[in-house]
This record gives sequence, structure tokens and C-alpha cells, in this order.
Amino acid sequence: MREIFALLFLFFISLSTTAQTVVDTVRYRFSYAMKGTSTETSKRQYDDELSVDVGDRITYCYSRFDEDNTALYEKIKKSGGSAADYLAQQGPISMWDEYDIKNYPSKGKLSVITFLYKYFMYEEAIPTQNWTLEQGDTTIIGYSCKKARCDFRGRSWEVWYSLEIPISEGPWKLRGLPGMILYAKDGKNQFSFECIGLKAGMNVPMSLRYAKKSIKTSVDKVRSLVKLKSQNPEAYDKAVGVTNIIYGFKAKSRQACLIELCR
Amino acid sequence: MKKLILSLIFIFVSICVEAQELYGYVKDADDTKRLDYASVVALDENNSPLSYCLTDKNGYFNLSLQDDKKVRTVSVTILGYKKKLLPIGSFKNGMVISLHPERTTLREVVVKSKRLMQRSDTLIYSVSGFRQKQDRSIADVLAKMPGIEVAENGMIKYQGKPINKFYVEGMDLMGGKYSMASENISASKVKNVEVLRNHQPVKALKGVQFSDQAALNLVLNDDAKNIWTGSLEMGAGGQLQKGIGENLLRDGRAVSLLFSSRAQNISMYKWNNTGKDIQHEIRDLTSGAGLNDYNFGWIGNIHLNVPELKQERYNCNDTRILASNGLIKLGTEAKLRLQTSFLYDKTIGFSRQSTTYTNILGMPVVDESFDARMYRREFKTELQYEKNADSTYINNVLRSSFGWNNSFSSTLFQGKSIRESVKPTNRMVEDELKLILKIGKERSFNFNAFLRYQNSPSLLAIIDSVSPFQRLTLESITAKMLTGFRHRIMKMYVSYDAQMNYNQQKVQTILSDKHEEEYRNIEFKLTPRLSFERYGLRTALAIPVSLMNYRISTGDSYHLYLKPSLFLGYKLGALWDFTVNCNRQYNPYDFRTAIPLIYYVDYYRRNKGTGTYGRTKADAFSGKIEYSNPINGLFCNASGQYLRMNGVPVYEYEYKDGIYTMGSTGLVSHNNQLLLSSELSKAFSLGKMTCSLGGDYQKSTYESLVSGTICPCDLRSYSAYFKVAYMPFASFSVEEKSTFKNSKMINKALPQFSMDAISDFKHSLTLFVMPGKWKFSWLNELYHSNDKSLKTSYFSNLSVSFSSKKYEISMILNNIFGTKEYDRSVLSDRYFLYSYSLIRPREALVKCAFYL
Repeated sequence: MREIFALLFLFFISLSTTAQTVVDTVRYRFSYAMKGTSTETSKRQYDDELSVDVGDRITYCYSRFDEDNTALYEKIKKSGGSAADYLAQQGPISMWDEYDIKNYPSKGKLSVITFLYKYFMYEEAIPTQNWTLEQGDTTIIGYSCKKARCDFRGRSWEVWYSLEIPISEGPWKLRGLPGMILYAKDGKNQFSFECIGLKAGMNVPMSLRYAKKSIKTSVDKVRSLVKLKSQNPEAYDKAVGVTNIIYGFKAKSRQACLIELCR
Repeated sequence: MKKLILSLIFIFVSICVEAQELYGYVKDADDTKRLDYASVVALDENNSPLSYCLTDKNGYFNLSLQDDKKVRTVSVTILGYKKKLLPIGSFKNGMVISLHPERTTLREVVVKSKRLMQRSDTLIYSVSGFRQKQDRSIADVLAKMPGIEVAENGMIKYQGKPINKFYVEGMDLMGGKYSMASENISASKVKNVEVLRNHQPVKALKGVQFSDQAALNLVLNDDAKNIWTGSLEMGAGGQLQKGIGENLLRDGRAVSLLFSSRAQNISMYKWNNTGKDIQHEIRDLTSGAGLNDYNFGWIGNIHLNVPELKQERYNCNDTRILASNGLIKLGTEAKLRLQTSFLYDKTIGFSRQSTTYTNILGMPVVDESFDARMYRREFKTELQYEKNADSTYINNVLRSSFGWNNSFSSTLFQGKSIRESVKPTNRMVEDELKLILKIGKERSFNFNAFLRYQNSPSLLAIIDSVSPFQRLTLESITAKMLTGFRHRIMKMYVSYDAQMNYNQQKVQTILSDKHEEEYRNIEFKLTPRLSFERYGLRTALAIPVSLMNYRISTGDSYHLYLKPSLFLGYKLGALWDFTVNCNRQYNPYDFRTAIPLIYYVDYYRRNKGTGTYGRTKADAFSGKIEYSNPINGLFCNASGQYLRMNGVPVYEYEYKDGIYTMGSTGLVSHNNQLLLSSELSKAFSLGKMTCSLGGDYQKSTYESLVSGTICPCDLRSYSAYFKVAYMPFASFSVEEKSTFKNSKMINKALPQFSMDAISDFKHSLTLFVMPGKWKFSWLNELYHSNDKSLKTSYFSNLSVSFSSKKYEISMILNNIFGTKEYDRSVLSDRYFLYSYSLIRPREALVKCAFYL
């Protein structure tokens, strides 16, 4: 009976949402405090909050800041507010422009959507990290955790995972341990994810807001655009089609800090 | 034999035991389903994992371990099933492990939001992180901060929208004239720049009404507060060639700043005669009410036809500006601010022009040659009182401006020498009140009122045989009141603006005798507005209804207008965007068009108005299609606009005894305008090189009265451009742009009045290199036309500068090849104009700027 109601609920929700793709049902939501670095010479890291939504098949990792802002914007537009009205209630701006969807569009595949003025999507096989289990115990959000390490695409990752949470997932593209990864940090201290919350019994539809809007492309194209954005902002604007910025100066060239150093 | 077999078995077993292997299958206990992605972990006696593996799609797992690791337990877990712990003794390789389904419940943890939600409305940029060695003023650093752009005229935008406030240490000293602060406060004095993104400067509206824009706040270093600081910039140079303008060039400014907790002050004195526009610092950049100095009177200083070039090439000025801004805090919630500025400018100009009037029988040609001197003396002051409390907001601004301008010229008019003289004076006082009261938690009441009084007397020398002068005085009173509210209909919000506008004007002219005319316009307007966005479609609909009482010499009349406007936008996928706009406008004739008097606008041209009420009705339709694909670097757009106007007054033109008269006939006609434009651009190798191609076509169909015959006419123009930009590094770029324009006028009824097509071309090549602390730029421009009588003009500018933290030195060489003349032709619906101007000659300037 409950399943029928859930299905009907899902059906009506999917009718009224605006062109979003509902692909699964969210069962658990893990919230991570993320720290990232935008360029190699940045003196500060930026903060973000990521939500890792675990569904029956698909795991969706996205920025909470961005999702909250977008949902607020849509609510304001629907109630007649102008596009600019939403600045007053806007939450913190997300600097992590990546959305990782595991087992989408089919099992074994990973779709990555990156926002670079437009949404770009590339697909790859779900990556497997070669974890080395290590000695160590700690507690994160009340769950006891064990340690593991791996080298993944140019960075060495040190993670803590909990055997008490039998989900083989984690933030970003990290996964494949016998428990949920609750903490991850890279060897150069440029990126870190720390679990700060867990919500169970969610049963809400998992909708991929940007899947339909994304331009399908290759991972190399996305990587070169990300590098170009920091290296030559004026050329980057021309490449992605930004036309309304006036440059009265020459922007400084910087080197982007990529979470995957090599592929 | 037995011993051999036994030892073989022993060896065999010992080989096997070197690497431990644990394998088996995992399945659902209730049915035969094999479970994949189940975690199988080998744990030691401390329950630490030694090795693990995930089952594949057949439920199969295979763990390998080093020999020295002692496995105590094997744990098998998967979400949705009960965890199974098997002691190693009961584990056999190849076994099938069954798991019982069980609802897994995980203990919830509520997100602690302290460090993520703090200061969520403010972004803080540290200046030291963005400042480069050559940045001197804070405006230079602002331009580099993400999301912030600084335009050439000093306007600062955040995420594409102009900022509404510029604070220093939380106090709003400059109001809308913030470029004086942003360009004069040294970057070394500022610690942080805060972007207040939810910026609602009115406390009573926080949470109720969302502000349109963001604001900036500069947080100063401790050593910059409570002391006077300043900067001094000086430049001197000379003309390297004989030509117009002064021989000795000066460009400099002195700025003093004071910031303390109770008061702030910025004062500045600038002087310049290199042609540069230094007036933007005293213009209000937040009001958006136009960035030109307003000239309310109908008569202005002598207006020479300026070349289509950058102002610095032809403007021979001598400008001085003295400005001061002071702010005092009254208590914690109120403040008083006084801003004053005084501008003195003397500009000289030499030009020759030949105007062929194409809508007068005989196509008369008027030749003029000017040697003009224009003077401007303008004084502006603004006093503001603001009280910003939690439930009340009061803001009252009192502004006044006075201009004593005059200009003279020794003019050759049709070969005859005459002396032109204009003395337009402007005096204006206005007051603006904004009142906001917060009612309850989510509602507010707002009320705006505005009142302006203006008096502009002017004296103009004319070539009329009856009187050598025209005195024209314009007096005007404008009042406005505005309030607004919102309510819900079904699922949508509808907002209303209710507005009352009052405008009364009086014009008095003294030619041979005195005439006076009055005009009054009262309007009540109610604008309901609806907008919504769903399924990728965005729409906005507004239907202003206005009731107007219009009074002119011939009498009173009442009118009701409906001016609907509709906007539709649709995004198809990621690459296409469509927009459609249509609206209808009614514009009653303004006083200048309706006045039944004859008045001179310059020394030989005069106008005569309709004398009655009239209005133009305009229906506009426009649409745009955009395609933007960053993957293949192709971007294109095509747009079309069609405008149909009814009720356009038809004028009759006459040129007799040297006087040109444009007189209203009382007839009306309709105009059509069609504008089609398109643009295509392609980016190669990630935007390092881009090519763009664009073109537009414009056709205006209108009716012109030529010696009593109504002639339908067409004014057609084509233009096209081609641009290539190459920027391999951020510190080097080259750009070439070529533009072509062609205009033609066809008179369908009287073809002999048609004008041939004129074409002109413009090419520019810019080179920019910025290694380390140096900056080099080389700009070249070439102008030519298919008309052989027009000269080809080529200009070239070079500039070199070196900046360090404390100072900047630059050397500028303008007009390297010494092109001193520029001529061009322009075609409009009424005339064909050929103009020739003198340009500033070759000049060199050395500038040095440093901070005190």
C-alpha cells in the first residue's frame, strides 16, 4: 500500500516539476563540508556543502549551496518576483561546479556535469580506486571509522570510512570501500570532504536538474575549458559564449587547481 | 611411496597456504537472487579490516590475503539486509552465504551549520589576494575580483548588474558619484572589499522587498583611518606638431581623503587639457538616469558636428573640476551628507560643414565654417538626510544645479561673416522623498514623491532681419508620486504600480515682441504586472492604464491609454534560446512639438510646433533567436525588429532669406521601421582565436512633405563588420576589426530628390602586451570612403607605462603620424551633411602618479 502511495506521489511530483529528470528515489542524504582550492596560487580555500544522495541505484553528488540557491530562485520566479529579486535571500555561492552521478545513464557508468557558463556533461566508466586498508580508528558524526588510502588520478587520497554504514559510496568520485566514506582529504591539502550530517528515511524523488540542459562532450574538452578559465579569462569568455563583459584591463593569468591532476 | 605422496601433499598444501584466499557467493535468503555489490570484509581479532572485496553480478567474491594476516571473522554486509558475521572456523571456500532482508536504519545526524551559513549575505575579498603590482587605485583591484567589473566610465557592476551603493567603512559618502572614491582611494589603504549581495540598504525592507542590486563596502587598513591621506597625479607634455589645441598639455589631479568613525570627506581638484573626459567622476553612476550632463533648456551651447572618433582625438578642452563630499553621522541610524562640485570648461573647435536639405525644393545647400569657443560653468550641490531604522526609512535629497554657459563663434555662413553667440543658463532645484514603513512581518508600504522646479533663460543671436536676438525662457515644474502593492490571483502574483505625474511648463519668447505659451500634463497611471516561468518558458505581461489631462493653448482634453507589453522567452535544450517582445506605446506630443510658437534653435534654424494636442502610437514587435555551442565554438544570433508608428507629425521645410524653418502642418503620417541583424562568431582552439562576422539592414519608410507634395521615402542602410581576435596569453592580444556602412535615401514621389548611396569604412588594429610591470599598447585606426572627395584618415597611438606599488609612470604618444584633418558625410531623413574637422595633432605626454 505504501509503495502505491509512494509511486502516486512520485508521479504527481514528476508532473509538476519543471523539466527535471526524475531517475530514482533518494533514500539517504549525506552532507559533507567541503574545502576546495580554485587556483594553484590561491591563499585561501573556498567552503561548500555537498549533498550525496544515495538512491536505490544511483548516487548523486552535488553542491547544497547551489541547489538551495536554484530552488529559491525558481520559487521567487514562480511567485512573480523578478530575476533580480532573489539576491536578498540568496545563500552562499557555490564554487564547486561539478555534479557527479554514479550509475547514470546506466549501471556502471558515471556522468559528470560541470558548469562552465553552460552545463557540460561527459560520461565515463565508474572509476575504481585501489584502496589500501590501513590501521587507524576514529569517530565521525558518531560512527566509528577505519582508514584507507589510494592514489587516484594524480592525487593521493586519505579517507576514513565507516563499516557501520554498509554503503560503498563516498563524496565526489570516491567509492568502493566496504563502508561509506565519511572523510577524504588529498595529499596536497587542496581538497577535503568531511561528513557533517546524515538523513535517513528520505524517500523523495531524485531529480537531476541539469541533465537535460547539458551539452554532451568529452572529458578532455571540459578539462581544457577549466584550465583556460583561469589561464586566459578573456579567451575563455569567447570560447563559452559570454558576450556582455566589458574588459577595461587585462586579467591575470593563473593556473587552475584541478581535482584530477591527470587521467 | 607413502612417504613421497605425503610429502608431496605437504608441499602442495604449504604452497597453497602462502597466499590465503577466501571466495564464495552471497545471495538473498528469501529467494535465489544473487546479491551484487555486497561488501565482504576479512577482519582480524581487533575487528580491523585486513582485506575486502565487493561481490560481482553473480554474487561471487574472492578475497586474497597475505599469509601472515590472521583472519578472525568474515563480515558480509549490504544495504537492506541484516549483517552477517561468520567466524573463520565456520567459513568454507565456495560456500553460499544467505542474507536476510532487513530494513536498515541508520542513526541520523543533523547538519551543524555554523561555519557554512555565517555571513551568508556577504562575500569578503581580501585586497592583498587580488592586487597586482601595477594596481594603484582600488578601482584597478576591483576590476580583477571575480564577479566585479569596472566599466570605462567608472560604473561598477557585480554579476552584470550595477551596484546600488558604494560604502567606505560602512558609510555612504559618495552616493552615486562613487567613481571619485574608487579611482582615488589607493589600493594599499584597503584591507578587504565586501560584496553585500542581499543588499537592501533600507532596513525596513529587509526580508520584505528584495533589492535589485548588490553593494560594495571597503574595509580600510587601520593606518588609513582617522588621518588625512591623499594622492597626487601630474602629467605634462606638449604638441609635437603645429595644430589646434594648446601647445602645453597638462593633466593632473590632487585628492584628499579622510575616514573616521563619525565623519568622512573626499575632496578633489582635477585639471586637464588633453581632451580626456574627466567629467564622469562627478556624474551619478547609480541613478541610471543617463550619463550625459542634462541640458534641460531648449537652447544649448553651440554644437559642432563632432567626428565619429574618440573624444581625445578632437576635443580641445581646458577643464577644471573642484569637488567635495562630506558625511556626518547623526546618532546610530541617521546621517547627513553634503556634496558639491564646480566645473569649468573651455572648449574650442574648428570645423566646416555643408548641409544639403533634401526635402526642400531646389535642395539648398548651406555652407558653414566655425571657429568656436564654448564655455561651461556648472555648480551642483546635493544635501541628503537619511534615517534608516528597522521599521521606518526616510530619505530626503535636495539637489540644485546652476549652469552659466556661453559660447561664441566667428562663423562664415554662406560666405558671409557673422558672429554667433549663445548664452544658455540653467537653474534647477529638486527634492526627492522616499518613505518606507514596515507593517507586520512581511508587508511594507512605500511612497515616493518628487518635485522639481527649473528655470532656464537663454539668449541667442540670430540672423533674423527683425531682431538680432532671441530671448527664450523656459520654466517648468514637475511633480511625481508613486506607490505600489502586490496580491495573489490563483497561483500567481500580480503587482501594481500606481503613479501620478504632473508637469507644467511655460515658455516665453521675445523676438520682435513677447509671446508666452503654457503647457500642462497630468497623468494617473496604474500598471498591473504579471510574470511567470514554467516548463522552460518565461513570460512577463504588463498592461499600464493611464488617464491623462492635456492642456495647451487650444484647450483641455482628456485621454485614456492602454499600453500593453508582452515578453516571451523559451530555451530549447542547452543550445537554443528564443525571445519575442511586443508592446504598444502612446506618446503625447511634448511641449517642444506642440508649442504654437516659432522659436529659434540656433542662429539660422527655427521650429514651429503643432499648436494642438497630438500623440504618436507605436506598435513594436521584435524577436531574437540565439544559438550558442561552446563545444564547437560556434555562436550565432539573428534578430528582427519591426516598428510601426502612427500619428507622426508631418513638417514642412522652408529655406528663405538664409533662415531654415521646420514648421508643423497639422498633418500626420505613419512610419515603418524594419531592422534585421545577425551575427556569427567562431572560436578556435578554445577561444585563443575568434572570428566574428555580423551585418544589419535597416529600412525606414516615412512620409516627407516637399513643396506641398506628400512623398513616401525610404531610408535604407546596410552595415557589416568583421573581427578577428587572437589572444594566446592573458598578457598579449591582437585584435582587428573592420566595419562597413552604406546609406541611401529614396524619394518615391520625386525621384530627383533621392540621394546616392554613401559608403564608409573603418578599420582598427590594436596590439596589447603586458609583461611583468610594463604595459604597452598600440592602437591604429583607418577611415576611408567610396566618395573620392573624402580624405582617407589614419591615426595611431602608442602608450608605455611602468607601475610599482607606490607610483606609476607612463608615456603616451598620440596621433604618431600627425593626421590633422578628418572629414565624413552623413545621410539622414532630412539632409545630407558633409563635415570637415580639425583634429588634435601629434602630442606627447609624460605622467607620473604617486600617493601621499
